[in-house]
Order: sequence, then C-alpha cells, then structure tokens
Amino acid sequence: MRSSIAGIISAFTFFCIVALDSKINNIPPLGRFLDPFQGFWQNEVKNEKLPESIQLPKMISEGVIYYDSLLIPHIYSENEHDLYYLQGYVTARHRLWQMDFQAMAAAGRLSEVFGNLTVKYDKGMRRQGLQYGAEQFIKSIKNDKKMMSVLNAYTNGVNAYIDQLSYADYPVEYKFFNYKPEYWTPLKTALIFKFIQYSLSGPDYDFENTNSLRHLGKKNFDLLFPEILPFQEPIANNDSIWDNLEVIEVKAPQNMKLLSGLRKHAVEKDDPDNGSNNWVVSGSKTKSGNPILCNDPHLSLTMPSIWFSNQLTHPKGNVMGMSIPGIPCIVVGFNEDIAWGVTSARRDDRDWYKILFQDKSRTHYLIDNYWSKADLRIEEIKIRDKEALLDTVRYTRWGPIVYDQNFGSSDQKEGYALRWTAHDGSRELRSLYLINHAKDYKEFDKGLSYFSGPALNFAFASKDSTIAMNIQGRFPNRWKNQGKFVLDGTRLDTKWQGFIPNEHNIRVINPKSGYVSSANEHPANNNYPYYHYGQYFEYYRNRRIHQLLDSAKDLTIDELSGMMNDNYSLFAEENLTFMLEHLKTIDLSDGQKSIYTELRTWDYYYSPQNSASIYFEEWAKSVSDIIWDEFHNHPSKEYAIPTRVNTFYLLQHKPDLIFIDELETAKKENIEDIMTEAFLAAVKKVDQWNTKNPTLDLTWANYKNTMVQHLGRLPGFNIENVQNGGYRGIVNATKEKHGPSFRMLVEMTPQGPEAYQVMPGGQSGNAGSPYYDNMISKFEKGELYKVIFFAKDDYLKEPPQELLKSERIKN
Amino acid sequence: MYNNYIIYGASIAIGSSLLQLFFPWWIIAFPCFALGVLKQKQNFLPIFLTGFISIALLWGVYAAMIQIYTGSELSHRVAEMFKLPSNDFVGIISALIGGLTGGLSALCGALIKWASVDLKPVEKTNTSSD
Repeated sequence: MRSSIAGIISAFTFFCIVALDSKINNIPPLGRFLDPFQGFWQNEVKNEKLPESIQLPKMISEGVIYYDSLLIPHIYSENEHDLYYLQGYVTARHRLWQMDFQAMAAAGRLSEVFGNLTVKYDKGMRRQGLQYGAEQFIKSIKNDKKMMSVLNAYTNGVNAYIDQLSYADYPVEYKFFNYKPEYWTPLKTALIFKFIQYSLSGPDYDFENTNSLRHLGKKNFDLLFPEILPFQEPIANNDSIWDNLEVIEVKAPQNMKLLSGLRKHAVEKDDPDNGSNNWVVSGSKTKSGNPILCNDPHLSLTMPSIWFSNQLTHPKGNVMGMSIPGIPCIVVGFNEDIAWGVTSARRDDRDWYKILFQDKSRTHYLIDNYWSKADLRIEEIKIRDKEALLDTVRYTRWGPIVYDQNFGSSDQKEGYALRWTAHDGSRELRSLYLINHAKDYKEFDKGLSYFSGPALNFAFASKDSTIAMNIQGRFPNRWKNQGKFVLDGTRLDTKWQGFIPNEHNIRVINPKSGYVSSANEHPANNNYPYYHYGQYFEYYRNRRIHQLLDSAKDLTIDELSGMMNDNYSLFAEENLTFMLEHLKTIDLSDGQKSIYTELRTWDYYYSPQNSASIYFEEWAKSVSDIIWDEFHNHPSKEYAIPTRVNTFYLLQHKPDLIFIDELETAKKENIEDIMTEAFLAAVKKVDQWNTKNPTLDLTWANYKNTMVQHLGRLPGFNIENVQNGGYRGIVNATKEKHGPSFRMLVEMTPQGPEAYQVMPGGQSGNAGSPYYDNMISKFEKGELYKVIFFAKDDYLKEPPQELLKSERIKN
Repeated sequence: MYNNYIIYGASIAIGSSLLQLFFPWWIIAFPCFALGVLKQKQNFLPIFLTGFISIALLWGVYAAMIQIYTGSELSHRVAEMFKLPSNDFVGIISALIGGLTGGLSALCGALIKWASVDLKPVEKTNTSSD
C-alpha cells in the first residue's frame, strides 16, 4: 500500500518534470524556459554582454573590434582571413538564430522545428529548388580559391561562436521552440543568397496572366495590362544611347498555341511591393559640392532586423555598410572611394513551362515528339515528432517540376516546370567582394559583371564625382512576350535563347540631369532593343523623386534624408480631383460631406497625424475592388488584377473601354455610380475602425498600424504601432508590414565617406537587449544616425572614449 | 524546530544553485529528493513545503534580481507572449514551477523512504502468518 502511494507520486513527479522539459504544441518547455539559471532569463541583458577580450585560436594574427554607441561593430584585422572569420563570429554573436532560421527556411526545413504547420511551405521551397540552386552556386564557387577561402573563414567564424555556447547562452528563440543551433556551412550562405532572390523575384504572374488572357482575349488583356503607360519616366530616359548596340536578335517560334495555366498558385507569394528607392545627386546639385547617395530597400519588415551594419577594415581594404546575416562582405555600403545602393530591378527571371508526362508514373515527359527521362530528386522533409515525408521532385531540362499531381495540380499527366535564373551557377559573392574593394566606377562595373541575380539597380557614387546607375543581372534574351505567359514545355524552341550580354545591360553614367535614381520603375522605354518585361513596375515613387530632384539645387543632407521620409502621394495629386468631381454629393449626409470637404483641402501628404489619407486610401482601394470584383473573388481560378495605376488611367482617359460588355466586369453604368459607392464603402470601413478602436485617434499612422513582425511570429517580440507615415507608391513606402528595411545616406567627401543610417529595429537580434529596437524612434521620425567610419590608423591608436566597447581578439 | 527546516531549505537552495551552474534545470529535483530521503521524521507537508519554498525562493529571487538589474525588457515581451498582465507574473510563475518541481521531488524522497521502511513489517507479518 505504502509503496504504491510512493510509486504513484513518484511517477507523477517524473511525469511533471518530463512535461516541463518538453515543448507541447505552442507552449515552450516551461521548466527549461523559465529557469532563471539557464532559461530565457539569461537572455536579459542590461547593456550588451561584451567581453574585454576573447581568444580565437584559429585567427592568424590579432584583431580588434570597436563597438560604437549603436552596437555597430567596426572590425579590424591584419589579414583577410581574420576579417571574414571575425565577421562570421560577430554576426553569429548578435544574429545566430536569424541566420540559422533563414537558411532552414530557404532549404525547406522549417517543419523540423514547427512540425506539421510548415510542411506545405517546406514542400513549396523544395519544389522550387532553392537548395538545388544553392548547390549550383557552391559548385561554381569551388574553382574560385579566393572566394572559397572567404566563405570558409566566415563559416569557421560562425562555428567558433556556436562552439562556445552552452544552453544558457542560446538565443531565446531556441529556448522557446526547444531546439539547438546547427553548424554553419558554405551551402547555407548560398541558401541565403537564393532566399533573397526568391523574395525579390518570387512573385511572378505567369499563371494569372495566362488565365486572364484566355478569359479576356488579347485586345482586352493588353488594355488592362499594358507593359508601359505613356506617362512613365523610366530609369534610363535617354533614347539615343542604344543606337550603336549590336543587338543579339532572338526569333520567336511559329505556331504557338495559347495554353491553359495552373488555376491557382499553391505556394504563398512574397509581397509584390518588395522594392526600394535609391538615388545619387552629383556635386552640381548639392550645397557641399560632393555627390550624395541615398538608399532604402523595401522588404517585409521583420525582427531581428533584416540588415546588420558593420565595418570591415584590414590593411588592403576598408568598407562599411549593411550586411545580410549569413553572407560575408557588405551588401550595401561604402568604402573610402565609392558608395553604392540597390533597388530591385523587378525583371522577370522566372518562367513556367507546361509539361506533358507519358503516363501516371511521371518518369518521362514529351519534348519535340520524344519522351525524355526526368531526373528524380527525393526530398525528405523531416517533421518534428512525426514521420518524415518523402516528396519526389522531377527535374526536367527546364528545371524542377514545381506543380504536379502531388502538389497544387490535379491532372495526372500534367506538370509545370520552373525555369529560373536562380538555378544556374553564379558568383554573386565574388561580385560583392570586388565591389567592397572597388576604387572607382571601372572597378565597380567590372565587379558587378559577376552579379547574376536577383536583378538589382545599383546606384553608384564616387569620391572622384562619378555618379552612375547599373541595371545588373543575368537577363534571359527573350522574344516579345516570352515568359509573360505559361510556355509550352513540349517543344524545345520555346527555350531561352541565351542571355543579354552584360555589356548591353543598361547603364546611366553622369547624366546631364545631375542625378540618377531608381524606384523599381521600368528600366528603359521601348527604344531599348531587348524585351524587358517585369511583373510589377512602379509609376509614382520614381516620378516623385524626379519631381523633387529635377529642379533642386544646393541640396543639404537634411533635405535629402527628409526625402527618404517624403509622404507625398503623387497618385493622390493626379487622381483625387477627378474622383471628387465624379462623386454624387447631393445624397451625402453631413458627416460624409465634412469628409468630402476634408479631402478637397487635403495637401496629398500621408503624414502620420493626418486623417484625409485614410479616407482617400480606402476610397481608391474600393474603386479598384468594385471594378474588378469578379477577378478578385473567383472561387477556383486566379486572375491577374489590373494595377491601381492602370485602373485610374483607364478611368480618366478611356472610361468607355472599361465598361464594355465583353469585359463582364462592371455592373455599374457609369463612373459617378462607382465613385459614390466606393466613397460610401470607404467611409463605412473607417467608421467600423472607429468603433473597434474607441481609444485610438483616427490618424493615418494608427489606422495603418505598421508592425515589424518577429520572424518566428512570437507575439511580444514584434514592434507594434510604428508611428510613421507613407504608403505604397509613396517615397516613404512604409506599409502595414512592409517598408524601408533601412535608410542610408552617404556623402562622398574628398576626405572620405560621411554616412548616416537608421533601421526599423536595431543591431542586436536578442529581444532582451536594448539594442533590439533602439533605432525605431528615429526611424519613425524619419531621422538618421550619423555613423563613424574609422580609418585604418584609428585602430592602431588608443580606442576613442565614446565607444561602447573596445574588444581585443587574441589568437 | 523550524530552525531545522530553515537550515534544510538553505542547503537545498545553495546545493541547487551550485548544481544548476553545470546541469539543466531538472537537477533541482535531486537535492530535494535527497532531503526527503535523509530526513528522519516523516512529516510530508513540511517536507513538501521545504522543497517548494526553497526552490521557489531561489528561482523567484534570482529572477527578481535579473529583472531589477537589467530593466527586464525580455520578461515584458514574454508576459505579452503568454498574455499575462505584467512581467512580475512571469517571475512568479517561474518561481511556482521551480517550487512545484522541488516540492514534489522532496515529497517523493520522503514517500520512498516511508515506503521502504514499511516493507519490513509487512514481510514479518507475512512470515508469521505462514
């Protein structure tokens, strides 16, 4: 009797301990997590736990790290090996979980942590072949001894940090999700490169375009989805520069038939607004006479901050700027001689080929009347606490078959293969390395030639007053409309016929206008002899930047940094009057009339405290929704939805065309009806918001409610209600969960670069650190921090007083 | 007589804190269990409470020290994550979970000793009935 009581209580105790040591659904292992000796409490830091000195035996010689007051590490070493070794070490110190997590996400391995929840995501990533692309990336870098040594040094640095960790030191996310950090490998760096390309060129519209074309016919399709509108101002706006180009012609195949596309994408697409602004003004337009570069890349805003600011100094180079955790070198930044910044070029580098299989076994596919054998790649998706899932991905001559009977498609004999530049071997790391060390435009341009993807617009400024814009990428040389719709994978002549030679890529050097700029708009108008379709080009940010810079003189740093936070909506300027004219005001209630008056006197600024922008934004959204509701709400098929810019262009310029019966879109008779219905819907929506949020003021920032979301979706780890203005199509592109992932300004003075920067977050990836989100208040106000760029000599002297920490690295 | 318990409690707390430097959190079960086994008188409630209070105090005080020293940004976030009204609750829950583990382990120790002492007379009665 006694022994059974003792047995039962002991078993119960044992059970409790085991339960408190395990992750159950979304609850972390509570005992382990809440233990103040080793659990999350150990991640609380007062300032940052930074040692006076550390010993790293793999270092060839000694080094030093200066942490400035923003926790930006300025790394100095005697040689290149130590430099990238330390960059890896320091990046892991502040961002280990983030880089590990993103490499897992790219490889389609999240289910190892999150279980069933992420199986579909993982399957999508595997089928799109990011890992395959990363393997090709490593293959092509294998012969490049220099880059391999950079990559290995970085990898070893990360792993040296991991080796020092005990459970108590693990980033808090590991404790919450109850798993362990994994050693870094060169392949993981490659995976992060591929992940970036995925997030920039992932949102393609080939299926939607195909479905819409079949539904609407060519004439209407071209009306609703024009490649360029007449009022666009592209990046290279000079018609004559293409005249003496020896264009490599491509031939479109004959007898192409219009295929049917996949009904719906099975994978979630990234935000199509992934983009950016950059511009460089030459000395002729600035007060100081020095060229100034500005850059702010727009991405899904996540915590820990996407970018990690650092300086890398060794006797043969000195570069500073933003790096991506997991990738050696600086991605966007400046050195003693040059500065550069990037925006997404948004060119289409992903095409879909429709495949016909021989039979249900799907081992052979038809190509030019011949059954070719597909290579099988078996993907094992490990799922936490479950049996692993095996998925066979078939690789064709086009690329991996993403959609087939086992994923996203129901037809037994059909498949859709993805041809994507990210699957080709490429050497972006060499490119970054060369840019980091470039001394002038020539070296910069040469370094860029290794950059295949993602396609980016590189803005450039140098100490010797050169300013330039390179539209860089490895672009397939397409015939007109190739890749806009699903291509026929059963015939070989639909393949890409080579690539646009790198010398023929678009460059703008020292233009007469005195500035270069890009904001994801068209690279050039139709005079550029190569077909350059992109999914989603910008029309407003670029023209607003032109508006501000065209007439500007004596620009100061304050004016230019303010420009990055410019909340002026060119779209509103061009459309609000038209919308108000077509509003039937007679039936409006008093409340609605006062909104009407507010809009009439509005200055078109989406400033944080403003409320007219709320009504305008909702109104414009409703107009599009009402006009295209059949496209939006089709139950089983995805259609391309005309952009807002084209919707309003058609409303203003060709109103009759929108309402023709063939389109079967608009039920309403005329513009007045639509405008009024949309206006009432908008007012109603805002009223609902007011009822839901009785304690909040109706301001644009509150209404938009910008959030910087934690990568692991941990509530409490986000930054919420960021008080910043702006929106889609506005230079300050801060949206609900998307926007400037940093803002940077560099002035190239004859003495060297003077740099300013801010990011929506901070340098530390540890949510217990004050540096996790310390930059947010300046970000909200649109202000920048001045950052210190140390000269080589500074590291050899006594460390300056104002440092947070000076850390010695011993070998 | 309470002095003894205070000494026992203090030894558990000190022993646990030393062990916790080297072992995972569940190591706290061992000193508590040892107390239960070694303790002469078998008063279950005081033994449970000794284990409970000493670990709860150890964890609670340590957590509070961390909170006060660092300004405790992270416990605010964790409180939000678990939908707790304030970050003090995170400390209290930590203490309770540690305490529960300690108390139960001490109780187990005591019960096992109690059960093993019990076995002998049971054997005797069995032989006598034969």
